[in-house]
Amino acid sequence: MGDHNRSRTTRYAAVIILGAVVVALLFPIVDGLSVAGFLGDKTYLLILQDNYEIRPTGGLMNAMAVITLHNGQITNLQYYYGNSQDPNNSSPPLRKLVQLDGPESFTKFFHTNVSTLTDSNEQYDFASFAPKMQSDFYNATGYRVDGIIAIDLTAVKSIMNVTGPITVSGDVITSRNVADRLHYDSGSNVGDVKTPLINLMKALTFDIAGSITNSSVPQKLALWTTLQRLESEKHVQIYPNTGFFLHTSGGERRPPTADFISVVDNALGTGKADVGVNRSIDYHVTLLLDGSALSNLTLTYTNNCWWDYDVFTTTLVPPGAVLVATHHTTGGWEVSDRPLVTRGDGFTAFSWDNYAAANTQSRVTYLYKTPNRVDTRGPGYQYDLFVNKQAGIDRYVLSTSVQLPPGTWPIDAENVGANQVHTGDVHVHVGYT
Amino acid sequence: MNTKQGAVIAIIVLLVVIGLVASAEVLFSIAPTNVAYTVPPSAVRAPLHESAGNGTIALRLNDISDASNPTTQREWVTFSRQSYEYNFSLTPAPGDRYLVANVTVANERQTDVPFSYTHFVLLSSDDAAYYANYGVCGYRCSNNVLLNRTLSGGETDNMYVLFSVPAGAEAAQLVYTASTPPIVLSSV
Repeated sequence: MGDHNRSRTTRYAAVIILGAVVVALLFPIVDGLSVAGFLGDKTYLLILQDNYEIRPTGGLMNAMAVITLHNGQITNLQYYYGNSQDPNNSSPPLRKLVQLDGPESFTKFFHTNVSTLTDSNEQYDFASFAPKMQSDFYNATGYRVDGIIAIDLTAVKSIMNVTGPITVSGDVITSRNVADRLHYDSGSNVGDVKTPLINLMKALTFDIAGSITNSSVPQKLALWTTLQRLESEKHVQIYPNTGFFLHTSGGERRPPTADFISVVDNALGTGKADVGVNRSIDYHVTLLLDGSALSNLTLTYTNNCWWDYDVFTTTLVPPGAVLVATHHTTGGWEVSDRPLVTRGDGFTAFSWDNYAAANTQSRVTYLYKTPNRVDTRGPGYQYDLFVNKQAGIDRYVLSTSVQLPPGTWPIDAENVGANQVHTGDVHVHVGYT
Repeated sequence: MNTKQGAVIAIIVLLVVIGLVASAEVLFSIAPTNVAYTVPPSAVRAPLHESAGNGTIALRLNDISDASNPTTQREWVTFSRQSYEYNFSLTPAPGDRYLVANVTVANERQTDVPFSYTHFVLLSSDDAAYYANYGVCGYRCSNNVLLNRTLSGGETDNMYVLFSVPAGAEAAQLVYTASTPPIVLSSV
C-alpha cells in the first residue's frame, strides 16, 4: 500500500515536472511570437535617448520611430525627430507642448509644468514616464503603440559590437563611431530635414532586425546576452515590462524598504557634456542605537570637457529624511544657495543646480537624518542600501562606509569600500549583532 | 522508460536549459570586432607632409597625434569654438584613445565636388581599420564642407579628423576611401 502511494506520488511529481519543462520551453516561444507580431500586429515606439545630454530617463529624446511588426517583419516605419535648439527644423509632433506630470522638484525649480514632447522625460525613472509618454505620443501623432522601447547611444554601440559595421550613404558606421554620428546627426541639420539621421536610424533598425532573424545561433545568443546586460544597466528600457522577452525592463526604482540613494541628473544648457563627466558618490552612514541613521552624501562631478557643465541634480533618499546641513563647491569656490527639498510618495528629494566649469570639479554634500533604516527581523541587525544608477549613465565611482552603533559587531558586509566602479545598481549590505 | 526515469530526464533537461542560459553571458560575450579595409593596388600614396591627388581632390596629412597632446587639445578647442558646430569631448572611454589627424584638402577643379571627412579611415600598424568619428574645421576652412559635404571649386580647407582607437593602437596610414582611386597618406 505504501509502495503504491509512493509510486503514485512519483508519477504526479514527474507529470508536474514535465509540465513545468514544457511550459518553461513554450512560454518564451509563445511570448516571442507575440512580441514579433505573429499573433497579431504589434506597434512599438522606439525612442533614441541621446545620453550625451542626460535626462532623468536616460537622455534627450532627439529621435523616435514607430515600428509595426507583422509576422516578424517590419511593415511600417515612421520616424520623428526633435531639436530643442531649433524649433523651425523639427518634426512638428515632437514640438507639441505637453503637460508635465511632475516631478515637483522640476516644476517648482523651473516654474513650469509644460514641455515639448521631445523634452518631456522629466520623471525620475522610465517606468514612471513611459505610460505618460504612451498617452502623450498618441495625442501628438494619433499612433497607439503597444509598447515603448528606449535605447541610448551606449546601447546602440554595444549592439553593433555584435551585429558588425554597416554602410549608410557611403559612410561606414561601426561600433566605434556610431554614437558620435547619431549624436551629431540628431543635433545638426542639413537644410530643413534630418536625412542623415533618418538614413542612419533606418539602416540600423533594419540591420538589427535582420540580425535578430537571420544571424547564426551564437550571434543570436550574443545579441540576447548583450541586450540582457544593457537592460540591467538601463541602457535599454522597455514598457510594459511583462512577458518573457520584455520582462527586465529596468528603469523602475527599487521599493524603498531600506536605505537608498537615487541620483537623477538633468543636463541644462546646450553643451552636451555628459559623456565627458565622471560622477562619484561618497556615502558614509552612521547607524544609531535606535536604528535611525545620520547620512553624509557627497556627489562629485569631474568635468573633463573643455566647456562648462550645468546640471540640475536631484537626489532621492528615504522618506522622512531631514536635511541637517549642506555644502556645495564648484571649482573650489563655495556656493551659498540652499538646495530645494521636496517630498513625494516614498522619497525625499534634494535638488540643486550644479555647475562645473571646464576641467574642474563641483561637489555637493548633504548631511541628513533618516528614520529607522535597520531591519531587526531575524538574527542580528541588517542594514541595506540600494544605490540606483540613473539610466544613460555609463559608469560611476561609489565609496561607502557604515559606522555601526556603539557596542555592536559586524557579521558580514557587501559592497562596502572605497572607489568601486559600477555600471549598474548596487546593493550594499552590512549585518551586525 | 518509466515515470521515474522520465522525471529524472526532465529535471536534467531543465537544469541544462537553465545552465545554458546562465552561462550564455560568458560563452557569447563578444569583444568589439576589428573592422578591416584593404587598400587597392591602384591607390595613390603620399608620405607625411606631402600631397597626393586624383585630379579631383588632393590631400595632405600634416600631423597625427593623440588627443591628450596639449597642442592638439589647444587647436581642437580653438577651432571648435570658432566653428561652433558641436562640442566634442576629448576624453575617450576607458581602454580607448583618440587620435586626431590634421589634413589639408584641396579641390583641384573649378566646380563643386563632394567631400566628407566621414570617408577617412585610419589604418593601424596591425591592419585594423577605424572610421572617422568627428571632424572640426581648422585654418581657412568652411563649415559648409562639414555640413553639406561639398568642396567649392578651387577651395582648400584645413581640418581635424578624430578617430577612436584601442589604447594600444598606433596610426600607420590615413585613407580617403571615397575618391577614385583612394588616396593613402602615410603617418611617417
